[in-house]
Amino acid sequence: RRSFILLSGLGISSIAVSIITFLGFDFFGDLDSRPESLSQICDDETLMILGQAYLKLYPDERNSELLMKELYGDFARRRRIKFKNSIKLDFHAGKTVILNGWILSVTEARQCALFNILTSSTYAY
Amino acid sequence: MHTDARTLENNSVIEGDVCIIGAGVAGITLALQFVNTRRKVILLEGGGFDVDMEMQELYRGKSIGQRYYPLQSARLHYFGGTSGHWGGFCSTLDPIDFHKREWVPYSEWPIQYSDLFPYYRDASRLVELPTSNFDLEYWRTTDPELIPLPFNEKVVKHKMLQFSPPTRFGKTYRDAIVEAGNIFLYTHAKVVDIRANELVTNIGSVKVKNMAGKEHVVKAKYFVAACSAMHNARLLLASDTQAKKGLGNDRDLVGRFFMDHLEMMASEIFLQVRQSVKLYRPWVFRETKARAELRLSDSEQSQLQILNATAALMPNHIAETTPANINSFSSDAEGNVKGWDVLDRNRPMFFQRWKKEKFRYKHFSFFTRLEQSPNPDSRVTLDGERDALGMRRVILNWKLTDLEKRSLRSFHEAIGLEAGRSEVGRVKLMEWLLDERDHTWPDILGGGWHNIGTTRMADSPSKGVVDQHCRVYGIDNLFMAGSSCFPTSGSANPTLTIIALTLRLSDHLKSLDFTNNMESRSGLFQ
Repeated sequence: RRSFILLSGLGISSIAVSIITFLGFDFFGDLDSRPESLSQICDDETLMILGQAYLKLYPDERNSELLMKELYGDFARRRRIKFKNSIKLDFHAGKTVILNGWILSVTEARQCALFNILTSSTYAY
Repeated sequence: MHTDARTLENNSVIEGDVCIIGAGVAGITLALQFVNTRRKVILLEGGGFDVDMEMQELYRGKSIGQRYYPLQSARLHYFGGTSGHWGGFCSTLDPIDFHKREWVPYSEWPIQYSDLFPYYRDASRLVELPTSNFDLEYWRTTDPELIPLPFNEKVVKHKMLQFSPPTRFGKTYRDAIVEAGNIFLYTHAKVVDIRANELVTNIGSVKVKNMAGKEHVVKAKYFVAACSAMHNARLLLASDTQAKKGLGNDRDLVGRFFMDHLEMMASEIFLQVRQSVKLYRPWVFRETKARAELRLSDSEQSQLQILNATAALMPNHIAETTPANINSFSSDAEGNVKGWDVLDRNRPMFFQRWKKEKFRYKHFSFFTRLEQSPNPDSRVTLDGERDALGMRRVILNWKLTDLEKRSLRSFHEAIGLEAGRSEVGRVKLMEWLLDERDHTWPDILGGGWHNIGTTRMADSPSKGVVDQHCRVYGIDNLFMAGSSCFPTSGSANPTLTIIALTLRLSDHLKSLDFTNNMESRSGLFQ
């Protein structure tokens, strides 16, 4: 019986993880906050600088949880397609910000800010 | 026929039907239209057939405003004029350039784009372009690799430029002028004074001088000044024997509204993916036939309330090593002209490199050409100092307004927005554009060597110096030719439009009445 309970628990966990992963939840992987489009153009150092510039403009957003909520919603879901659309919609709506001369969507600027915070935290260790 | 005026007996009197003052692009274009007609045309050129530093020295003046090129080399004082160091860039003005724009003070021409458009065809022939078609779609049919970036054309449009060989008018059209039986070219015949009647309603003659100390008089039925914007104004202001403020200057408009294009690198664009940009290829001397530059649509300009502008994509690795024009242009006029000969000799080497070019880059600088807002305080006036022929020298005060910098910033922001919207890439503004409160300009700002606007065209004498036919208000028989007549500069290089406007002027001159007692003096040529 003990073995059955243990095995059942493992089985349910596996199914749960599969479902969660399928839906885009990733509690275990490294949350890659690099803006996808921008990282095709800028290296990590530039992304960090842009993030820093955004946080200087909007110091109230210097909070990884707040940024994650803004970017990812209530769940820590990584959904690249959503970001690509959000970025495009930002440009269509004129929701842009100029950081060190770069004309960026607000979404990708926040991604840079989050990338800055998370990467700085990582290096702090 | 050609005569060196230094060889004439002093105080000779020369007579014709039309006297054209200046044998640059406009003067030669105008003279060519009269070849083999019944009119006797006197074409006066202050210089000779080669660049002469003594003649260039006559153009030396002072520049007291925004930093400008040395005046003694910015324009060339010889047969062929400034086509001697012209780069060959050809484009048409845009219809919006002719409109009254509420956000651009003193904008509006008394003619429309449609009035000038028919003349662009013959203008294109004169500068040896293969076609007068500047439509992007036409050029795409000539080469399937000319693929535009996917901008929304309602916001960002493609403006085509073509490149003349470049046509050196002094060389290309010398024989046609000299061999024409009814065109009388006088070199070393600099006009230093225009003489009107007592009421200043009619010009009777012009006074000519040269470095040999000779003076002559030229009489004609009609006179056309084609000396470039700076020197058309100079001549009118200097002709103050009968009109104290200068000819055509009752309302103090001669010399005002001097314009040039503002040309500089202003931002960078980073494409999302490396792709073919052959349509936007950088200009290579004698190899590039055409290319596209980006401009904002008329509706976008209207919405943003900004001036017209174009941006050329320059691969960043080239842009980084290209000095700003204002820092590299020499005061040595002769050297500038000879520099083109050096380029010509090195063509085979450039061509070999160019043949291997794949036009696939990701990172560009935007070389921007911005319209200047017409500004009455940007002007040409006369100095007390006189040149070797006794003519008062020029003082140039090239003055800009806040509208230029705001336009430049908004222009690049708009392209940046559209680059993001269309997933083309991202734009980065140059640092000196970031502060909206900063109206100063960086050291890299230069003009395009496009002198425009000093005898502007308008629908009334209270607003301009010349009427829609380029006739000086109040004076029956005096006309201005060239870019001095443009009320606005647009964003296009002006040479093609100078020629088109001159062709239009020639049509008008040919329609005028030449029948009076001048006939017996000038002689008709069958």
